Amino acid sequence: MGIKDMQNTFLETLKSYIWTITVFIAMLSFFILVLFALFPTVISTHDPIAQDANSILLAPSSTHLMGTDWAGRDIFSRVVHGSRISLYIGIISIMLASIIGCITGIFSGYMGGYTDLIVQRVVDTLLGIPSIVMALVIIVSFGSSATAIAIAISVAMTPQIVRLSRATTLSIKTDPYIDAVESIGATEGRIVFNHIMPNITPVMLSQITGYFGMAIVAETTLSFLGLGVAPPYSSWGRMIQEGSTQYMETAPWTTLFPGFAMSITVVCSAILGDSIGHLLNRKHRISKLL
Amino acid sequence: MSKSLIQINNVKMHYKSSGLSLFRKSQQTVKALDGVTLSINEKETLGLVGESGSGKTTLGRCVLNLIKPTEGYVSFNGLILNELNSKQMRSIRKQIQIVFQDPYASLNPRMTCGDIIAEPIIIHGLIPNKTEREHKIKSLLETVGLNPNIINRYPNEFSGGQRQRIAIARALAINPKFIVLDEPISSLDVSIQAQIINLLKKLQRQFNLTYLFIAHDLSVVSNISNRVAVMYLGHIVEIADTADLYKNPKHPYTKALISAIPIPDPTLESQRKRLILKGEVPSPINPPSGCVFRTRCPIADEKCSTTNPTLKKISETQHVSCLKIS
Repeated sequence: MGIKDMQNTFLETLKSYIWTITVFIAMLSFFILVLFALFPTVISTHDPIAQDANSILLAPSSTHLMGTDWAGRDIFSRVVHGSRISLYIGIISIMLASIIGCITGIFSGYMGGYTDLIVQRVVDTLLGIPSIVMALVIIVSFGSSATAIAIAISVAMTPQIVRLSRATTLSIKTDPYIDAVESIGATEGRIVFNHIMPNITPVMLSQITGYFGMAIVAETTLSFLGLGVAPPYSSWGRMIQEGSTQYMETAPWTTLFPGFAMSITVVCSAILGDSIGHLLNRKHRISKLL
Repeated sequence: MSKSLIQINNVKMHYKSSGLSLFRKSQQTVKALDGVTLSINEKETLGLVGESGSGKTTLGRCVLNLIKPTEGYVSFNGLILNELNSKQMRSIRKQIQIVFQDPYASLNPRMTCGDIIAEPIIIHGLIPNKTEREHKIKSLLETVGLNPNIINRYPNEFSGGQRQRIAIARALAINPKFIVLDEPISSLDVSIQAQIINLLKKLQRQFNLTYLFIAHDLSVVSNISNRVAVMYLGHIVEIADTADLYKNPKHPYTKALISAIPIPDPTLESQRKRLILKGEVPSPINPPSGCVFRTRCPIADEKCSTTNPTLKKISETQHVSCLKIS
């Protein structure tokens, strides 16, 4: 083994260690986030909607860990409570989008022919409409509840998931093992559920976990446009919007802390998505798709 | 001569080459199979040889009814496969099986080896009892020469030869009568090839199987087949008993193929005369008129470009499709 090889081995090992540590940190952060969302009242130090005229725009201190906003509300408590809304919107929207998207995508890809052609043109049309406009229409018609926002985000994400699951299905459909089970006499349902689904799951799972972060960012975008969850309950998006439009220079903590919370969530979901994909494929040593 | 099990009658498989579109009508067709007639007798092995793109695999898939031929039909035991509904076809599938070329792709990577072999048994509901089924799978693994304890392992843990044995075990699981072997050994090492061939021969004797053995290696085919059919551009150009075909090939294409087999003897090998064909295989989109082989044939003349040759019987066991041979 030459010095070059040793260097390479060392770098590989180092890389895999760093990756393991990164995934561990991501899992830990995600766990804390879930704790925030499950027990906000236990964790938060103040009432997130109680206004206090004596403590407006206070900098972070031991009483107010992340400072206070323009109405004197404790930002830490609001971030903790806001995690609930962000996670709710993230989870509901990716669940809706992935269930509808995967079913449509697998169906379209597996059936092929004119079914596929028609489904794909519909998806093209949906992708052609700017997602903000589509979300706007949905929120205006259903009101700005967290569920309506989640539905709006899922409608915008579904076409992409349809595309991905269709593409993955197509690549697996032509694998000889699908022919093999077909020649055995397997029904189409069996082929889809027992053979295609388990093989597209890792790809979809890692992508969908990534979409979770995108959904949270989308919620922020909508809040920024004034389409977010109605006040006084606060999502991270609304907090960022309120802070950044008026107090960014005088009281940056009003924007920075909810922004940090959101960034950490998005990065963690991307890392976890990647590692899920790696993990599921390492077990069967499949490098074809990831 | 025993009775015929599979009849392939004037099967044509034409693929439209342009993609699906709402507005465009497709123009070109690829003639993968162009009027193939064959019959496979019970308990025999019919070797099917030809170069890449000659339609061997397409024919194999037609026989399994994985694709429906554009014209003609395949019958199994007198039943015409294309006319069966999906339920009837499913019951026929119990008797016809296939082993694919690439054992790395023909096994679902996310199923254990036991589950893969159990699949056909479960689909046809043959052994509902789980312990009995496991027993059957273990005995199948032994039959194909694998350790029965590998039942919970995944395909990636096996070598190519072992995977092919698993694929064979899966094909055997429901006691088929007929197995299509689609180049089952061409992706394996030479030493493993011989093992698999011997295994296939043993299984044929043990279970009274009929094989359609698709390959492009003539020496392997001569070893296992009773009869051999030679394909060129979607046509059968010659079909004969193995011994006749190898000793006395009639069709110029067969002659060229046979002359390409190396002889495992340096003195004889150095004297071996090779017939080298000129040119490339023409595209199946636009095959030559008349005899498809005429563009590369050393003995072709004008008549060959106008008349379509048909398979002619030249002896009790040999049929050739050539206008120059009478």
